[in-house]
Amino acid sequence: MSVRIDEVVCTGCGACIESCPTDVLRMDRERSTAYVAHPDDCQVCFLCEFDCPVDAIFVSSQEQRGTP
Amino acid sequence: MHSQVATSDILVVGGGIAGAFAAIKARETGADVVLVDKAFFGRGGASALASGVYATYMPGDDMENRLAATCTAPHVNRRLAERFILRTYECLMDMDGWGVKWIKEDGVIARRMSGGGGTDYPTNAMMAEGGPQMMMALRGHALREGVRVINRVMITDLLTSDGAHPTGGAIVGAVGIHTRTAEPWVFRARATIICAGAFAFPYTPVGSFQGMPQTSSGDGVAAMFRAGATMGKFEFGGGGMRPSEFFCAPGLEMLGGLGCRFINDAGEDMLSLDRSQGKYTHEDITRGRRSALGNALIKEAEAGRVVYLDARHFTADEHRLVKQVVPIVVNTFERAGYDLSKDVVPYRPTPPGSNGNNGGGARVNERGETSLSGLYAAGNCSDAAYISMGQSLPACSVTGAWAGESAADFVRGAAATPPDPEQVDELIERALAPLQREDGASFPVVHELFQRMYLEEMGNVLHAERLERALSQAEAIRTEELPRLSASDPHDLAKVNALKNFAEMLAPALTVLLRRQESRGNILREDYPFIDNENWGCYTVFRRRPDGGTDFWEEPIPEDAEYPVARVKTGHPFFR
Repeated sequence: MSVRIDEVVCTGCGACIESCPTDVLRMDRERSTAYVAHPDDCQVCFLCEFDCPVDAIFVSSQEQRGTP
Repeated sequence: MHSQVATSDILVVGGGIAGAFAAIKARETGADVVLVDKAFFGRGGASALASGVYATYMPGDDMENRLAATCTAPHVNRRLAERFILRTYECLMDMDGWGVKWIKEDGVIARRMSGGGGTDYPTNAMMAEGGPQMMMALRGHALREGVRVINRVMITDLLTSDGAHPTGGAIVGAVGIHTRTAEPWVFRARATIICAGAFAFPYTPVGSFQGMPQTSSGDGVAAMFRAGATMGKFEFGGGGMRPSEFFCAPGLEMLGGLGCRFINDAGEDMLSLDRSQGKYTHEDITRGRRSALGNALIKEAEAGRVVYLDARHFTADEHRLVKQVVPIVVNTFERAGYDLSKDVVPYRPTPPGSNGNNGGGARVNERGETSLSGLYAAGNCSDAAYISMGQSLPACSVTGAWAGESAADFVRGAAATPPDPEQVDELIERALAPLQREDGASFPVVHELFQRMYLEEMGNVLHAERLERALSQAEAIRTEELPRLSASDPHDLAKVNALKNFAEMLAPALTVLLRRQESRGNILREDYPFIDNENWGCYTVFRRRPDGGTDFWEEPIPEDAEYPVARVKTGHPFFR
């Protein structure tokens, strides 16, 4: 997975869920924090990280799968 | 079937820079405008990930120099190029007024050479916080102007006045599905402007051959093709390069402009090597045409050498500037452990035909009109009236503005035609059908078939035999797998529909490549290793027939649009 969300820091504001171009993130209603629902679709564009007001997201660009 | 309905004078599909300009310029005339985005207006598509450089004309620039840089091929509309070049400055100043942040010196937008974006641009403006800030500023201005925005709805098809695909009538709106709920949407509009981006291989798994963004699957291109619009410029899209080890745009507008080098794993400056062999010059590549760089990368890869981007000689100030203007690229490098001031970054070529950036869309004129009444297109899902799409952001903004203004003119005299309810139901049913198929072909399975086709059949250098094999595989997937595509949930449904759109455009795209019996730019033909200005100073265009087949034909470049080149056949530098 290339997106990590710090559940302690996340305030559940939903900014990242709104902005993700490939719709990877969803809200965990019970905990009121964002979580990664569709990890395979992350395109590593950092927009969620840029848009997070409390710096709770870290996106990694390293390949998770083998290079063909 | 219950649907959400949105009615407006003008529907704009896609919220990148082209869609933003189209919507704002139409709205400025008083038209009622709805903008719909598959993701979130300002965050979806390619513009928010743009390489932060706007290749603009500025007062005092040498117009002849600019024209020469823009019209590098006989396939660029030189007559229109001057109008385009002048309009880029207007768009730049519009954006400055709307809150886009530019690098400024003494309060004036700074100018700097850029490179690698297609050709050599003497002056350019740089975004002070990259593409992400630019798009949020455009979004903010569009909302302030009263553009109505609908997010997370993917347009799946266009509605026609005669209820037919392809239509003999006009475009009267569109249908779509919500990407989180699968709720159907119906859009009624007197004019529809498609700005939904390039046709490209969608949702690529990390580690594969295509770079960002994944969302440009050609949804708008495919919808226009199905509705019967004439399509063009598919032979000039695709090819390019990206960092080998991770997902990232190449960032060359900025890095190339500052004079980055490319070296091979023997530590040699591969460009110097090439220059000594009379193939590519350093100028061609660092500040020059991206196709020349792509071809040089292919050459090195074929010789078994790894190529690295080298920016270690930049000054500390230049490194700071790069980080400011292309934040996404530098972030990607840093997270993968590359520090541009100390490390070189491996790059590799991407295969031709795998993306339609720089071409591949509906044929439009300089008013953004397609061949269908009521349908406009702009940016990378149009052929951009054959101005140079190498200047992607400027071409998208200018063609967006042209389309917005023309559509606004059009709706003033046009009556609203209600959509045919049967067609609405049929198209929505088709879009939702994959949800009903429990044991059909899944997204990863079909996606993998395409990926294998690209890797095994296409290669970086094309040949008719391999193209024919790729085409027959693409046709087999289209006819056998697409009707069985299944989706597990609404998120998957949007992906499956995107894959279907890509699949439907692939066969015509490969056919156009096959028809073109020459090499040009990044399109390299082992069996036709020459640039043929004698016979191929023309465009291949195509249109869907009512029986489901596709008609292809060549159209000569209009004489008044022609860049004066000798009508001769010369060896392509790659094969020399």
